[in-house]
Formats: sequence, structure tokens, C-alpha cells
Amino acid sequence: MRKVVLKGRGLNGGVAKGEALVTKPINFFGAYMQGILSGKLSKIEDTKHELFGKSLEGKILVFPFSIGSLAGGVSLLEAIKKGVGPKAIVNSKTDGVLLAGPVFARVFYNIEVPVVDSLDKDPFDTIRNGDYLTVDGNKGTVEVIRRG
Amino acid sequence: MQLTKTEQEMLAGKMGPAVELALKTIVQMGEGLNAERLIPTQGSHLGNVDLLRHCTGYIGIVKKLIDLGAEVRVPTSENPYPADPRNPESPSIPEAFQGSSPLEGYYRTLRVIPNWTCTPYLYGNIPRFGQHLSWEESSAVIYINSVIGARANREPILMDLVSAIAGRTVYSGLHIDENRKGEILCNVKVQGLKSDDFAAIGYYLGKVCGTKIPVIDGIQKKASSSSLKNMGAAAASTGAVSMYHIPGLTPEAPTMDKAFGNGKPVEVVEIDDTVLKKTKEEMSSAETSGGIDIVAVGCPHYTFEEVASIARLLKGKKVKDGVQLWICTHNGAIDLAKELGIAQIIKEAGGKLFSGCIYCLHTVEPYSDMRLMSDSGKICYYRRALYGSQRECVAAAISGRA
Repeated sequence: MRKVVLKGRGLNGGVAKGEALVTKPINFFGAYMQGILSGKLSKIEDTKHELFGKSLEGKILVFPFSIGSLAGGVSLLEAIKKGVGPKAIVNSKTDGVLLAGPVFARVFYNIEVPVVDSLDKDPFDTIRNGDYLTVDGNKGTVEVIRRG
Repeated sequence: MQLTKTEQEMLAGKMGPAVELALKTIVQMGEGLNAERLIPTQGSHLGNVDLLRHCTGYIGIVKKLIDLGAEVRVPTSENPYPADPRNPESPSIPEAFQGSSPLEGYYRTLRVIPNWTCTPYLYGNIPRFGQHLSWEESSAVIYINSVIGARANREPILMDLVSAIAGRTVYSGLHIDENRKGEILCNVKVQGLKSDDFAAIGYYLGKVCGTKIPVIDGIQKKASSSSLKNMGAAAASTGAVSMYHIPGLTPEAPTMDKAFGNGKPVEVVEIDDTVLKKTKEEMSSAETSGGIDIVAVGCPHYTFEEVASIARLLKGKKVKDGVQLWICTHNGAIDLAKELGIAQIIKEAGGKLFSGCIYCLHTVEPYSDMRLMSDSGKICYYRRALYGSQRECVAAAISGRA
């Protein structure tokens, strides 16, 4: 079992453990709009995204950055509050739209979704789908245990 | 992050628990984004009402703030509703938006200005030069930065709300002098440039500029408030452009040199007749063969001048049976149009003049599959549509064919 610890910047506190889901940039508004309107939010419904039809529930989302609408953060918050969002987020660069989801979830709903970025090693070289991660948003670290 | 004495007192609850909680959130956002400090704001604009009225997370936050006694501390307005249920001219509200949501009542309790428009800078919430604002709605943000010289970033939804309550936002991006300089020089060399061409110019600019600030030369003579609104909305859709300068016209660019902050452009692009023609072709992503079902104009909301101009084209004409003509504008322009008999001309021609949101309506059934034509660069980017100038849109509504 190989273990690597990446060091970066914690943007939202808390500790979460789970399986990594590595993917491309996400427009959370595009991903969740239909689910929010129908009241049956669970999966990503953006047909242009590789995770179309999949859920982030229970996963640690590893992706470069969020794109698109300014409603991205409020859409992510909805997924987090409904329990179908990621347990933690590891990315390269965090903007306000993405950060708003986890920060407002913490302040208003006491739900912790740690966010870590600016890691000392490229997370896309180091982390693969299914790796077991421990994300510490207080210390800004990501512990990676390789799958298999 | 450095906080002022007043901000420390706000965090300690001296201005009440709602301000305390709102500011606490803003501070956490600012720390996460590595901001050095906050900036006092003089206004907010709230967006995406269509989506938010279904967001239990958002509604819960608004309720919590209201329970703590929140009211907005600075002039705060709101984006359009999908349709206008009080207006008999309005298209019917799609099922997805029916049913009550507590949000509208909550906004009244917060004392949000019920102007229901994506052009609040024309109606109900008019900023002035130099003000720092926390605004949503990318088409409005680019207008107030560029044309008015107010200062605002493309604020994430949720931040606009807590900023309205605390009167602060994160000091970053376009709040800072250094970040407002022009970066790309864009020379427009189009023969016989028309005000109608501005949506296409913006559409192209957004693609080549990304997040950079263009300095646009060669459009000064045709740059009305309406055409600048349409150009910015398109540029903020195809790109994340939040500001532009026009030398001799916009307030922070008295000269070309000043537009670049006495620096040099990092890139020069040219828009000529060929670029403009190609861009207009690209804006039409829908099938060109066959008829159309909806002609929709006013995204962002039409100015009063645009309403008057489309009424002149419609006078004595009739929209084809089975085709809908939507003309979206703010309620101030609707009142004026009624006063002047313009609304009656539009009604007699079969057009619908209402204060709704084309994008919201056309995203959901029963409208989403209907064939759409618009003069809006923003709509042509987000929806499968045909692009046409206002004149072409009217001709299509009358003939039923693009």
C-alpha cells in the first residue's frame, strides 16, 4: 500500500475521507439545474460532461476548476445540503463561485466539505480514480492511498 | 485578512446577528480567496430568481437571515422573473416555474427593490461612477464597470445576498485600480457599421478576450446605450469579459493611452466585415430551413428606445398566426410604452410586451423545443437559435420564416 501526502492550501476546514473521483472542469449550474428545477437532484445532468448520469455523492472530487455560471456555487450548495454532493474538493485553482458552495454550507448548515488547492505536486499526476484520500482542510493536506 | 474597526464590531454582533453572520461568511470567503481586505459596497443586484426559488439551500439561508432580523443595507434589486403573471400580454408560465415559493415574500421582507430586471442600471437601481458594488448578472456587471465606471466583479450568487446585508464584499478583481487597465486593442473596421452589429462584435470579443479587458476603437459613432448593453451582454456570455474601454467615450478612457493605463496592449485584434459576417453565421446554431415558432427580443431587457424602434417596425403589420413575438423589457419602459400608445401598436400587431426573461422561459417546456430567433448575442450563445437584427426579427415574425 503506497501512501503519499500532498501539501497545499486549505480554503475551507474539516477532514473528510473517501474515494477519489478525478474529472474535468465542471459547470455546477449546468450539472445540477435540471435536478434542482425538477426537485429530484442527485446526478450530474450536463450532457456535455463526462460524468453525465453519475453522482458525486460520497466521493472526493478532484478536478482542475469550476467553469461557467455564477449560479455554480449555489447549485453545488444545493447538492451538498441534499447529501448528493462531494465529501471534499481537491482542485488546482479555486474561485469564489466554487468556494461559495462549501463556505455557505459550513456557516449556515454546519456541513463540512473541506477544500484544498495549490498542492505541491500536480494532483492529476498523483491521484487516480478510486484512490483513497484523506483531505484535511484545516492543514491543507491530501493523503493519497493508491488503490490496488 | 485585515479588518477595520467597524468590521470587527460587526463581527462581534454590534450591528445585530444578521450582519454578524453575513460578514462572517464574507470574511471566510475572503480568507479562502487570499484577499487582503474587504471593501464597503453601495449596492447589490440579485440574480437567477427562476433557479433560486427551487433552491432549498438558498431559501434556507435567506430565511435564517430574516429570522435574525436582516434587511438590506444598500440599494438591492433583482433579476427578472421568467414571465409576468400580472401582465395579460405575457406568455403563460411554464410548469417548471409554477407553484409558490417563499422567496418573493422573503425579498419583500428584506426590502429588495422589486424591479425584476436584468438592466437595473436603467430602472430602479442606478449606480454612479466610482461606487463599489456586489452585483450578479454578467451583462449588468460589464455595463456598469465599462459605461458607468462603477466597480463590480462577476459576484457569485450567495455573495450578492450577504453583501447586501453586510454592505461589504471581498476586495479583489475590478475593485482594484490596477486590474481595470485595458489589455487587448480591438480595432473595428466595418464599412457602414450599424447599431445592430454590436451584439455580433461582443460575441466575437468574448471569444478572443476570455477574461481580459478589451479597448475597442472604431465604434464610437454608433455606440448608443442600447448597443453597448447588447455588445457587453454577448461578450460576457462567450467569454468572462467584465469590462471594456472605448477611448473618448467610456469614463475611464478619455484617451487611448489612459485606456491602457499608459501601458501597451498585449495583443491586437481586428474586426472587419469578414469577421462580422462569419460571427453572425456562427451565432445561428439552429437549422435555417423551415419556419420559426418564437421571435424573442430583449435579452438583456430592451431599453425604451429599442421598444419604440420595434414598435415603428411593427406598426400596421401582423405577426403570423402560430408565431409568438416576445418583447422583453423593464416595467419602466412598459409604463412609458403604454402612455405613448406604443404598447397598443405592439399588441395590435400580435406582439407580447412583458418584463420576463427569455432565457428562463426558453430553457424549459413547452418552449424549449420551439424554434427560436433573436437579436440577442447572449440568447444565441446559450440557446439553439437563429440570429437576426431587430429588423430581420420583425420580418421573420411577420412571415413566419427566417
